[in-house]
Amino acid sequence: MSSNDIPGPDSETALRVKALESLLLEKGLIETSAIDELIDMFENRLGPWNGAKVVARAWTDPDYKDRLLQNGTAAIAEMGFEAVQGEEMVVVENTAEVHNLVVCTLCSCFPWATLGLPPVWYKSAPFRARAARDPRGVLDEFGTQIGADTELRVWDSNAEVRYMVLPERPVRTEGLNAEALAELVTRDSMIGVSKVASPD
Amino acid sequence: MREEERQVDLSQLIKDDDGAPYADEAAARSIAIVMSLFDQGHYAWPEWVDKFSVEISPPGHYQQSAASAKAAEDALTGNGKSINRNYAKLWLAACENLLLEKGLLTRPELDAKLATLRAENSSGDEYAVGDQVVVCDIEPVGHAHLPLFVRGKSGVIERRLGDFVFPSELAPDGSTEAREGDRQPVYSVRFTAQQLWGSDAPNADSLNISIWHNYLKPA
Repeated sequence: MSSNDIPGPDSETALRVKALESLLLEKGLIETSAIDELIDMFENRLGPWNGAKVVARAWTDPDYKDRLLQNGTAAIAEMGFEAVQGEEMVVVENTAEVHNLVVCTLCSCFPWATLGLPPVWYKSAPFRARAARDPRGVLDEFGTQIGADTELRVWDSNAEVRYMVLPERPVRTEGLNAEALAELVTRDSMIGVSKVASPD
Repeated sequence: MREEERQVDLSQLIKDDDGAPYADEAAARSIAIVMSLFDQGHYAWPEWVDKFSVEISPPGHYQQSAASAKAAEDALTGNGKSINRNYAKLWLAACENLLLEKGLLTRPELDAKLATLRAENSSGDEYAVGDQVVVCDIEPVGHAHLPLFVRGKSGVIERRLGDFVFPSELAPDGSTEAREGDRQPVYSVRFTAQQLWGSDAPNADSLNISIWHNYLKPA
C-alpha cells in the first residue's frame, strides 16, 4: 500500500540525508563529485559479476584456485578487484561433502569487492537469525537441496573478515571456458544459499 | 507462531529481491557519504561498523538494550520494500551518530539545516481549514502517532493546532527523541464515522484526531 512518493517517513529520511549532505558540503568534508562517483561504483562496478569471474577462474585454473583458498584477499586483488574497506577475504569451497553458507548476524557485512551491496533478505532479521540456528531450513526456503550427510558450515562474519563461497562447478560444463562459466555463476551461489545450475 | 511468521517472511523476501543495489536515491547517498568520509580518513572502518551494528543488531545474538534490539528487529522484518527503507533509516541514524561523536557535526547544526530544508519544502504547502486530505497509508517504525483506523482514509482539516515536534523515528535507542528541527504543523482532522467504520455507522457522527503534516496528502 505504501509508496515512495507520499510524504511521511520516506520523505523524512530523504530530507535527513539531504540535510546531512548539504551540511557536510558546506563544511568541505565531502564533494558532490566524490559522492556521485561512489554511487556509480556500487551500481556499476562492484557486483556479483566480479565474484563470478573469480569463481570461473578458480574452476579453470587449479593454481589460481589454490591461491584463492590459501589467501583470498591477494588472489581476488590479482583479478583487479580491490576490497573497498581494506577488508580481508576468505574464500570457502563447496564440495560434494561440504556446503558453506555465509551470514552476518551482527549487521550486514558482505564482500563488496566481489559481490557488491547485499540483497534485501541478507539484511533482514529473519535471515540473520535463522541462518545461524536453522541453516538447513534457510536453504529449503531458497529451494536448495543438500544431503543429510553433507556437512553444513555456517560462516558468521562478525568482524573484519568477509567470506565468499566458491560454489561447486556444475556438471555438463566440461567444454566451457572461463568466460562462459562466469555467466552461470549467481550471486546467491557465492553466498551459499544456492548452487550453480548446469546450463540448459 | 512467531517462528512460522518468520518463515513466511523469508520466503517472501527472497521473492522481493530485485537485485537492485540501492533502495532509493536517499539510501544510495547515505551509503556514499559514509564511504567518502571513511576514504578521507575521518574514521576507521571498525568505528563505523560499531555504530551501525548498534542500530541493526537483532535480540538474542548480541547484548544491548531490549528496546533498541526490538526496534531494530521490527524494522528489519516485513516486506522487502519496508526492510530496504528501514535499513536506510538505520544506516542514516548510525551515520549521524558517528559524525556527531567525531565532532564533524553538531546536533544544533543538523537541526538548523533540517529546519531550513523543511521550511523550503513546505512553503505554501500547508493546509487550510476545510481542505480535503488523505492520511498516508504507510507502516511507520516506532511510535508513529498514526493509528491504523485512519490510514488511507479521507478527512477534512478542521483547524490548525500549531507547530509541534514530529516524533523522530531515528533515535538510536528506539525512543522518540524530540528535536527542534522536526517541528511541523499539526492539524485536527475530522473524519465521519462512516468514512472510518463503514456505512453501518451513524451518519452524523464523526471523529477528530490530531495529525502531523507529514502524514497527510491532498485529497
